[in-house]
Amino acid sequence: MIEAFDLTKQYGTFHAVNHLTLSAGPGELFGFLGPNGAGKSTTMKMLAGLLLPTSGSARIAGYDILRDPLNAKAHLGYMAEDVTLYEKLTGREFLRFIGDLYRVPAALQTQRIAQLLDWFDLVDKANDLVETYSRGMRQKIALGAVLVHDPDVLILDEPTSGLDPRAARVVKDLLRDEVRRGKTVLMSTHILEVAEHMVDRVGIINGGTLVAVGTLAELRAHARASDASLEDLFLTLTGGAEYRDFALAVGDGEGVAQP
Amino acid sequence: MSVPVASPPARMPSPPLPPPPPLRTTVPMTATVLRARLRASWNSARRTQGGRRRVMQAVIFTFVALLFLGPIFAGIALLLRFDAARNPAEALRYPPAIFVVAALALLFTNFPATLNALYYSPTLSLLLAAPVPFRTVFTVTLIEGALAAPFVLGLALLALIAYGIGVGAGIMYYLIVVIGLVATAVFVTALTQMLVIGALRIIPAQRAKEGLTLLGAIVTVAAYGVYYSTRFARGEFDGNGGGNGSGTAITTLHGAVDRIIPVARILPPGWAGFGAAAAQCGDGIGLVAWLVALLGATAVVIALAANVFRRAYLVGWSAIRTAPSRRMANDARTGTLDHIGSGWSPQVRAVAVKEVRTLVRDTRRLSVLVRSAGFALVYLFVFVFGGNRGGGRGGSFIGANTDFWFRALFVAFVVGGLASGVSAYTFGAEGQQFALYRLAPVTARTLLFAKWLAGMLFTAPIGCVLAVGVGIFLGGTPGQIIVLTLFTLWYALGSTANAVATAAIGAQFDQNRPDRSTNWSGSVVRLGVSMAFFLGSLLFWGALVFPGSAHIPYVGGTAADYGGVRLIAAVVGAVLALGGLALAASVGSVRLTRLLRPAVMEDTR
Repeated sequence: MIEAFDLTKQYGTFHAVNHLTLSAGPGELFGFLGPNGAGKSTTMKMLAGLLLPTSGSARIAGYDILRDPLNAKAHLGYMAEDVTLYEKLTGREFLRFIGDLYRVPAALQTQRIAQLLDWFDLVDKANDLVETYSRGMRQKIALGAVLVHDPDVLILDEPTSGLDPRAARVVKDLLRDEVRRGKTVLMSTHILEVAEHMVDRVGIINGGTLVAVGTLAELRAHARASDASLEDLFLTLTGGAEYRDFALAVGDGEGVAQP
Repeated sequence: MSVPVASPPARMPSPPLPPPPPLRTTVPMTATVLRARLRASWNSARRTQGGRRRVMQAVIFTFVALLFLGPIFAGIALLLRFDAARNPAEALRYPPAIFVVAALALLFTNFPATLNALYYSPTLSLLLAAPVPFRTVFTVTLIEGALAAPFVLGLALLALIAYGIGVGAGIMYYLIVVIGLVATAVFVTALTQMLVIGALRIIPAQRAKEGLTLLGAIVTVAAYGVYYSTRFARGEFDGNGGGNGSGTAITTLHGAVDRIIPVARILPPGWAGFGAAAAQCGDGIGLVAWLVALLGATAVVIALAANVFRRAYLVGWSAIRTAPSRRMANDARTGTLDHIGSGWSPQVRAVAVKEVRTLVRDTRRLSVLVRSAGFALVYLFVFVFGGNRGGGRGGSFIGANTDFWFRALFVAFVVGGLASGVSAYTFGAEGQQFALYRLAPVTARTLLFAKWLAGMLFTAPIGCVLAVGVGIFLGGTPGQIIVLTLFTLWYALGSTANAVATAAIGAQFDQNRPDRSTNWSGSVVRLGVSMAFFLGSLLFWGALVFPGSAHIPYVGGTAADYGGVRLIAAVVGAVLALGGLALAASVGSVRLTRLLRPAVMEDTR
């Protein structure tokens, strides 16, 4: 479970994230959307314990990420948009390193790594150095590293970016499967079609403020646009000041986070 | 409330584009590129917290360096004044020698910087794809390479100014010095560019960056070895390892200049020195001749480098970006390494195994180790072959090479150097990957311990093998060899702990070069704790374990002759050695804990 309470990140007078409150429960895939520079990655970094919030707090699987970081991190798998891997390890060695770092028992680790390499079609390349991998292969290994310790909570920043259609499909199926197993997944994406077909609920952030939260149906109902696509709703909510009334109206307690 | 769904605005027809301006020539284009780079550096220093911190560190470092260099500077000036008054002809040979030493130092330090400027600068692909003249790319990389070692140029400038003040040189001397240093930097960089571009035709593409860095390290160590070999061949070591001991600073200086001057006559940077000396004497014709020769030679080297650049640069550029698959160990070999640290937690094992693998495979990190091990071996050579082998107590401090002090110094140089090469950059070299530790449920203590364990896997066995070898070579008894090996282990344990702890204290993650991943604070603390550990170890082991062979310099007798005082010395030594380590470990742990916490700013790590 992911809970964020009144999260704020301020740089001088600039609010990168402004009093953001949201939660995603077990068995839920939460889509986190917003234009470039809206505060998505900053929020995700605060949730993952990489960035210190100016105020507010966050809990991962019931553990406060700032007060009880080791327990929170043990239940979390986070993948950044720009993946960081050890270039001088092979794909298999890297996954084993992460498995050990998260204290996964050796036998289970071997089984899990074999499964992940198979899913991502990397068995043949598993003993090659990461430095020789293409961008897509790096993305796959980074995803594997997030999944190797079978965390309860996944926070993924653009997990399908750079993947070929086949790998992207594998990721989508895999995430749905994780959700079916009761895991909590929070992911950001710019591919709104992906979000539309995958997520249970959507949160839209704009200018550091969460402007809408809800299922697609809820957002459509509030917009009174039953046939609107997620892209239409997204543009409506993030397009400019003229749409602020809509955001405020939806924010009257029905599915929209209060700042 | 109903809200209209957004629809895209009507698209206005684009106005026709004006005809493209004529392509700009090399000089204005170079100025444009340099201006942009200067602006980027300025913004980085002024607007980012990490940049501001680096500027502050540089200011403090310069201040501290000046505090230390000031007296040295004054000392050199006085020494040269004295020497010039006594022997004016001899003193005229100093400027060429200084220029040659600076040029050689630039040559060795410029290898990785030139490689980065030529092939790894992030905006190079932008320049190459844009309609920018090839000469602009060459000029920009040449200027970046020439400015890559300001410390070497600064030291050379200080030495030349000290000389100028010492001999009372006029304004023309200082002008020639400045022109000479600029020409030297450009000359050396152009030469390095040719070497790097040429080397890329030989070294396999996928190993180019690492291969060149390793080559640089090997060349540096080889040069150091050759330097000592020539001194050895000239019989300059008679047992004290650091020269014949009978000469004064002036005669030592004269000896060094004697060796350099023949090189200065054939190496253009040396001509700058002859020009400066001519300016100091008021020899106008000599000045003009040397200056024309210097500038002419520099122009020729630049032209050659530009030609090599034009013909071969793109070959290297494309080759260095081709990274064919590099299949590594099969599972059986991988499994062998996995036994490392099997007695400890999986986290310790994970970090230690990763550390060993990356150190061995990353030739850039390996080159740091090669350099440290190479220097250690050169010192070993000097100690072993330069001393009074197996001859009991000699007349000088280190000349008594069968006693405790010789062994302690040997161990300190070899093991301390190795520990520094393996572990002193262990955290900063993680780079962006350090974020993986920040995400994982891992503590600072676990990381420190795992890194220490990984460092010990290199330092202890290599140190012990050398200790046993030297012990046998010097004709020690089995008991002496065992005790020397134990002392080596102690020293490996301590110096590796010091290197790891101070690597945490000084870790900076935004450097591409592993040997620059520790900032000045880490280096300063490492030096201080190394001294404390060295002195403490000498006291403790000399007083407690080797009392019979720990001769007391200047006073006479051995430690065994000083019963009660010996025990006090041992306790003081233990406190000094272990206290220093404990302090470094505590500060390192605090710094690492802070690094593992959430960052305040996104660009601070």
